Amino acid sequence: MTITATVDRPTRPVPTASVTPGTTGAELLLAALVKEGVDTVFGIPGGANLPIYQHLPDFPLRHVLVRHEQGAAHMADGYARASGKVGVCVATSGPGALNLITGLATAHFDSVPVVAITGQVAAATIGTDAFQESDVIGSSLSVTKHSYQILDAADIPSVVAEAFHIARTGRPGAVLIDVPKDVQQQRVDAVAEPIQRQRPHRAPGRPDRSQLIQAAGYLKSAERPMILAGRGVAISGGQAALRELAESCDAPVGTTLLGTGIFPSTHPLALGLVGFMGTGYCNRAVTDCDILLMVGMRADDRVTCRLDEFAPRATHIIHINIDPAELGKTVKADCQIVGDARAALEELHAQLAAQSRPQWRAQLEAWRVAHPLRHPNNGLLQPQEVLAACYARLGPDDITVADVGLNQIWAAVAWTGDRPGHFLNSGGQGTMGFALPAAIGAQAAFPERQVLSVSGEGGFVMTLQELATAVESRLPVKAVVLNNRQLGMVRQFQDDFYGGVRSQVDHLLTPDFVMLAQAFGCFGAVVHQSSEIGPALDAAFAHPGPAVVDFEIDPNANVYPIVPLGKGLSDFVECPRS
Amino acid sequence: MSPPAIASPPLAPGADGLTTTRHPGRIRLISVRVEDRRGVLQRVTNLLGRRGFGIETCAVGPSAEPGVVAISLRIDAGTQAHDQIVKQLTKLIDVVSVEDITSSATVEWSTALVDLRSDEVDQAFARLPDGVGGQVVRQAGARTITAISGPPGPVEEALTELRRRPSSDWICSGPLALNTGPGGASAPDPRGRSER
Repeated sequence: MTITATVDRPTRPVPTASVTPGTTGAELLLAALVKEGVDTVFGIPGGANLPIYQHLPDFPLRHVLVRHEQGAAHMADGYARASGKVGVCVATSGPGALNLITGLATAHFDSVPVVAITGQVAAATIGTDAFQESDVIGSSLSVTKHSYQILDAADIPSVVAEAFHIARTGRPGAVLIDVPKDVQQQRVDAVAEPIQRQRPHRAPGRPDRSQLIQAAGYLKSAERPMILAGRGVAISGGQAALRELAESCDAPVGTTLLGTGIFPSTHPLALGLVGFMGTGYCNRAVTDCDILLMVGMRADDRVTCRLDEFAPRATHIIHINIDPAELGKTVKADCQIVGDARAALEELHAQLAAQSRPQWRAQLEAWRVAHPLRHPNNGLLQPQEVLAACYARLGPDDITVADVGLNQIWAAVAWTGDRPGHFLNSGGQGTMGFALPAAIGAQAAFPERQVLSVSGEGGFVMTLQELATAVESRLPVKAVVLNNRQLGMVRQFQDDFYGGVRSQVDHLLTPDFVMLAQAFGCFGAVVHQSSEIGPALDAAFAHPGPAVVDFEIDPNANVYPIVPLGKGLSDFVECPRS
Repeated sequence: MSPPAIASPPLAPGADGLTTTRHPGRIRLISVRVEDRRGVLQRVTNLLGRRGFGIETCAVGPSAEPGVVAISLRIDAGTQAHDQIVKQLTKLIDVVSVEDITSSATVEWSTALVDLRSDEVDQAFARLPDGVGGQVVRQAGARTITAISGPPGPVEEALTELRRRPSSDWICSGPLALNTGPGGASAPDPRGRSER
């Protein structure tokens, strides 16, 4: 067998751009980050990225020292979701790089632009099972949009430029750059030209106009039009266009979890969350509509529930997404439009004269009355009253980051904001432990805003070591823990769908969160009853640093409505009347 | 010793490798052209595998265009929506073009190297199905290495026949596929394939 040396780029042009002779790869990398507009990076130094950290103090970059690399990836993610800029995380080789994977998957799944920079063992030792070697390229293939392993420092500027372009262009996503330690130390006198590709990476052009005219025709002819919208609308900056179109068509708007905030929650046409744990009136409207427009969303199984009962009365389904692979993947829309959500919504709006549909609106109002959001009134602390008190203390610019589980749905459904980028959560991956580090990342992007992390005690303990990061880096997030002393959503599933067998869901030991908060140098408080909510929150918000407030909520509080597994959207089960 | 010319028996209609090949719906013939970068094959195969597409055959090699590698894949889409093969592969940054040529006018061609007992070569060649040619590549005493090539179906048939000869050994390439219709495999996508 013959083994030949691998060549990264056989057709690449000869390096021409000159740099200060003797510049190291690490310096090129840091300079390239600054050139991309990066101001903050989240990371941990280690054996294989020390050359980068050696030169870090020479560059105008804020480094947030995290306690676990998963936290770094979630912080970069939260930073990106809040700011719309590319988030950057840094890890060393081996376990450091692998610890990023969950965070990269979380970001990538939700189309969040994140660039991860990993150290790698020296190029010559790659593939020899060297100390702290891991195949991070192979391990991250399914959770990144693209990845690079740089074997020549001269390639660093062009690779970083392309990586950021790919991360933020089209459907955004995660990109990983793996840099062997010796490449970080390699000195170069010239660097490679920008990467030339046979097929350059570009965002799709304007959506097809003839298809939009056809879609506008469907909406115009509709008696019961319905709009579902997701994060793509926020990414494209299409929230104003969405509102104008909805008002013009007199069509109600439901949103996905990631779409929370893209349509004002208090708007008369707002139906709130759609899907598995969506509002009853939204799910009824989807089931009954005759024309359905889905924009900037994937329509996964949490949205559609039983696919063959999704929008069964719709004569036409219009699906707009920037990623053609999402069209026809689950819901087989007959009108599939590739393109930017905002451009498509604006063109649709331009095609349509204002219409009013009083009969449909009356029906929607009737469903609102018939299926109100309810929660028990049993004297125990209810999550809804906690969240209402939290949200009442937030200004329009402030940010809430929800974790995953019951807390996430409660927080999303109760959300009262009217702009995207202010309610963040992990939708696609559903990564428990996301909220605290993502909130820290959002706080780093907007130091002057109040940033709230909402989680259950289950998810909170998965990443709570980042409280140290928050205190040390003066990122004063306020952590709200909705503590039911159990894995609540799993418990609800076991109660409702798995024969009522409660198996391994009780946290017989939950830490004393007040002492824990104090141990990290945070403010800590515990709340057992409604009357204590306001004072505890006021004290937490008044504290200049990070705070943890433990809310001992009703252990049997559930999410309602909920669509039983295997059922259609209209089969939702509501909260029993108390 | 120079190998003799290809001994090509007369071709039966439809077995000439030049007519349109059609597969059952779940079997897809995919032509992918990728930039010649390290790890690109891993990206292609990883994506197909994790999305539930089985790779039946895969032939990889240089293309007419410098720096571009051509990959011919025969994929069992199983119960998956097969349009996702092209849509998802198109999203890979290193992919230059992807085309599902299952229903296109294509030429498919497979080649096998067959190790035979020298005294069995003539008989083996005589039994080759219509459309399959045989050639002696190297003769070394009692063993002869031959190459047989032709459309994938008849070549598979020939190899099935060779399985009955316990003294033989062979290796077969996956089919190479070339779109011969209008806007063939090497033609750029009219939409510019900008979407990722």
